[in-house]
Formats: sequence, C-alpha cells, structure tokens
Amino acid sequence: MEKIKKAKITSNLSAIRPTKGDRVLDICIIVALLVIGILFLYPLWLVVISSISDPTYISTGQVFLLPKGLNLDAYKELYRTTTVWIGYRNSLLYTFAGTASAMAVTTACAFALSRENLPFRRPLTLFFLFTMYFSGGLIPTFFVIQDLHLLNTVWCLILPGMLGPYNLVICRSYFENSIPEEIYESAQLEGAGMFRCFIQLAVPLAKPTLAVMVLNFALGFWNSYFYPMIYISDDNIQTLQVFIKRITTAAAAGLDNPNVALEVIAEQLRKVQLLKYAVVIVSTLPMILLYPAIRRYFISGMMIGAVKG
Amino acid sequence: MAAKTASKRMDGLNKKSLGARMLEHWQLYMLILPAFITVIIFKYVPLYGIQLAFRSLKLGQTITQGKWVGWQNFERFFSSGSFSRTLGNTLKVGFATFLTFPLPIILALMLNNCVAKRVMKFSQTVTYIPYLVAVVLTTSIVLLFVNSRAAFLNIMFKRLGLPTISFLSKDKYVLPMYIISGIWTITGYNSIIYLSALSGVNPELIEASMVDGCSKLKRIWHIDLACIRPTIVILLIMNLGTFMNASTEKMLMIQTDLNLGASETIGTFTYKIGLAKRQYGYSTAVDLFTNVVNFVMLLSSNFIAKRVSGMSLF
Repeated sequence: MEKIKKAKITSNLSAIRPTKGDRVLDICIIVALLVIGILFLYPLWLVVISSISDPTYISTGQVFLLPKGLNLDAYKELYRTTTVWIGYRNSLLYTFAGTASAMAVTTACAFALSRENLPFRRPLTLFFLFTMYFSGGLIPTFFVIQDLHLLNTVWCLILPGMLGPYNLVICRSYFENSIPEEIYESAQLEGAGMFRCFIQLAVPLAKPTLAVMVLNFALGFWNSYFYPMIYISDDNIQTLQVFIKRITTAAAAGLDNPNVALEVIAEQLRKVQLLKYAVVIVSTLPMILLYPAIRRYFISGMMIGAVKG
Repeated sequence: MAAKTASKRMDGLNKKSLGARMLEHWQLYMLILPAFITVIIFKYVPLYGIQLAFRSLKLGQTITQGKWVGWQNFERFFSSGSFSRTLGNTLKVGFATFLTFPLPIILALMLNNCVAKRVMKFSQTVTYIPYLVAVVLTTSIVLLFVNSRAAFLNIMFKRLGLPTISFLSKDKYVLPMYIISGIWTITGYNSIIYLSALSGVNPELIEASMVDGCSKLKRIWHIDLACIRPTIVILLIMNLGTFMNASTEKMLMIQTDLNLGASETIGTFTYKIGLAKRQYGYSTAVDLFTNVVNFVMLLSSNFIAKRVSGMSLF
C-alpha cells in the first residue's frame, strides 16, 4: 500500500519535474541546436563582413570574425552597375506576376482536387503529380517554347510555372485536413456554389498554407537562373541572377579571349573581387524581408499528405 | 424521419449517372481548367517531343522532319566513355543526397523538444535562411571557403600547420562541396515539413507517457517519430523519385576543366550536348533514360512502402 502510494507520488512528480536523464537530454539538445545554428550562420556572416571589408584583407585571409578595413565601396560600385538594377527591376516583375498567377491557378486546382466527391479526382491528381517525375526533358520543352513564339519574351518564365505540383500537394493536403467538410455543406444549403465556397470560405481559412506557397513560388521565380539563361537573350528582360552570374564570371571569360587587353581583365577581376559579396546580400534581401511576414504560418502551413482518391 | 429522407436523397444522388455527377461539379472542373491547360501545354506536349530520342535532327528541322534512327542515340550513349562516368557520378550524387535524408528529421525532433524557446527560434531561423539564397549565390559562398590559397578553409589549414588544398581542381572534393552546400541549403526547409507533422501529435499521448514515467528520449522515439512516420515515408518516396536529378545548375558552377571526372553528371552532359553542341536527338535520349530510371525508382519505392508499411504517396 505504502509502496504504491510512493510510486504514485514519484510518478506525479516526474510529470512535473524532469528526471536527471531528461535534463541531460535537454541540455544536449540546446547545445546541439546552438552549435548547428552557429555553423549555419557563419557562412552568411562571413559574406556580410566580407562585403564591407577591404578586398585586399580578404584576399590575404584576414577577415574572420569582424570586418577589416571597413568601407562601403562594394555597395557604391554595385549602385553604379546598371545591369544589376535592370535585373532587379525585371526579377521583381517576374516574381510578382509569376507568383500571383501561380497562386491563382494552383490554389484553385488544389481546392477542386480536395473535394472528395469529385468524379475522376484520383486520375486528375495523378495527372498533375506525374509532371513532377516525368518530363519531356530540356530539348523538347525548349522546342515547345520556341514553337509558341515565347522565346525571349517575359511569358516563357511565367506561364510554364503557373502550376507548381509540389505546392499543389501541400495546398491540397491543407484543404483536406484542416478545413472541416461541414463548413461547405452549410454554405451549400444556403445556396452558395463551389466558386463562392472557394473564394469566400476556403481561401481565407487556408492562410497559413497560402503564405507558405507565396514564399515557395516567389523564391522559385526570384532565384531561377537556368531557364532565363536558356530562354532569354534580350538583356532588357533578363533576370538578376543571370546578370550576377555574368558579373562574377566576366573576368574568367575574358582570360580565354586574346582580344581582351590584360588591363581590362585586371580591372574586371578587381571589380569581381569587390562586388562578389555585396551582390549576395543585395539580391537575397527581398526574400529575407518576405521571410518574417510568413514565418509564423510555417508550422501549420506545410503539411504533406498521401494522394487519396 | 428527416434523417431517413436525407439518406434516401443521398442514395438518389449516388445513383446518378457519371455524366450527371460531373455536370453537377462543373464549377470544380472550371477551377481545375487553367491548371489543366498549363500542364498540357508545358508538360505533356513536350512528351510528344520525346520521339526526338529516336531521331537525328539537323539544324532548322522540326521534330518530325528528323531522320528516324531507332535506338542509335541510346546505343551511342551506352557505348560511349561518357556513359559510365556520367551515370556513375549521377548515382554517387543521388546516393550521397539520399544519405542526408535523416538530417531534417533529427533537426525537427530537436527543435520540437527544445525547452529553451529562444534557442529554438534562433536555430530555426538560421537554418532556414540559406534556403532563401539562390543557387548562383550559394556557389559563390562555397567558393569563398575553398577557391584559393587565401580562402577560409586553406587559411585555417595553414594555421593548423596543414598543407593547403586546391579544392576546385581535384575530383575528390566535388562531392563533399556539393553535398555540404546542399545540406546547408535544404535542411532547415525540410525540417519545417516534419515540424508541421509534429504539431499534429496528440498532447494527451505525451501527458499519458509522462505520467507513466517515460523518459524524454523514449518519448521522442516512440511517440514523436511514430507520429511523423507517414510524412517520412511520403517524403522518402518523393525523394527517391528524383534520385537521378543532381542539380545541374549547381554542378555547372562547381565544375572546372580539372574536376570533370567527378562533376560531369547526366544533367550537365545533356545540357552541353543539347544546347551547346546542338545534338538534340542524343541529348533527349539521355534525358529520357534519366526519366525512366527516376520513374522506376518512384513506382517501386511507392510499391514497397505500400507493402511494408501500408503507407504510400499514391
């Protein structure tokens, strides 16, 4: 009797006060997370301090923890580089237009596919999912873009990205799991059609997942480099990432070209050394600014479920 | 009584013909339509171009004008010296990427069980931010660490009295650079998917286990991990379906003439022969080969998962 009582008390206590083993684990987790955090942060920190340090100190390896030879020359030089600003403007436009259209198209599709009584729901879902894993490949896709006369237009970057299968899966899971069926039923009893259910009920309730999708899509458009490089040759509509890549490799390309004077190459090399790090900061800034607005929705908005039918 | 009539009405609904039921849902089909058209044009029409893999196309010819050459493009790929090298490299990258699969799970479990909320927030934010950095820039950050004798790692080596290393000119450093930068980019992002699944763990389960005197480690193992198993299985299947998709973008940037032995993957190879050398048929054949391997991986992993765990992507 006494023993049972004692056992009960200790078990109750353990529910409130963690055991020694638990506390050791807690400390281990905290230490591990701190170490991981610092390891992940350090490369970014090194970029930040390198961008405001004198390049000669960087090339002799003297910049480690704090900036040395503090100056803003890199940012001034970047400000004078017109291609960066053209790229910035273009990428902002692509990102804005692309994200808006992708959100509209993908969310609508995800909503319809989340409705259980939709005939052909499963085949339709697999139809979209299939594109995630099987594609015509580089050349056939290139030919389609070419035949549609989309090469070298703004559309070749926006239109193909209007349906993101991965975001479709996330969004569909959310509609399915987090919004109770009864809401639609009562709305339908009051005469609301599926269009209204989608726009007035589902969309406002799916805020977390929509926020996550916005960030995913925006990142995809903002950071895309491969397709603009292939599809676009007109510099007036080229994206920031391509310009950046060009700036950072210009000097190397000049080295192979016997017609480029050595002084020009040296000047380019100096510019590359100077701009390399500032460019990382300036071009990642829009996404970093978007992040805090969306962070609080992350946990609830990123669910991935099986494709049920 | 009311319930009975309602259920009768439901029966009536179910007996409706397929056409009638589809008509009833016309609004839903309208919502799917834009996505449907997009995917048809940009994903399914290119599939028609896969026949290029069996043709030889001269400049200026359209797809169907190319001469039909049967399996010649494939034979050329399989018998060329590039085949074993590019396939080997692609598989190596795929396998190494696959090995990093548990890292986001471990991170998510730690974040979820961290008692110091500030540390948790710090780590979560800091591990996520690399995902926001473009591949083009990630590579220049990698180069900041390795690209010359004055790069960070070499300076460290020098201080420790070790010889400096020319990372970009040796085959054996390609994979570590690729994988480590990959871990840096994606771990935080993927951990959020698991955190999302962990938030669905029933708190009563945790309370009950605490009352029963279950240690935290056991709780993580038996409750947390068990609850996110479906998510793990689904992400595993999704990842295996892209086993052969070593990032061409990133490889092209790490690639130098000196490390081609390890950095030439199927992706960089199709890019070069397709767009730089304009051998359209050959490039498409190589692409098709990758796609088939990926698809087989996807279907078989889905099948195995269904058999073993009863869970699957589709």
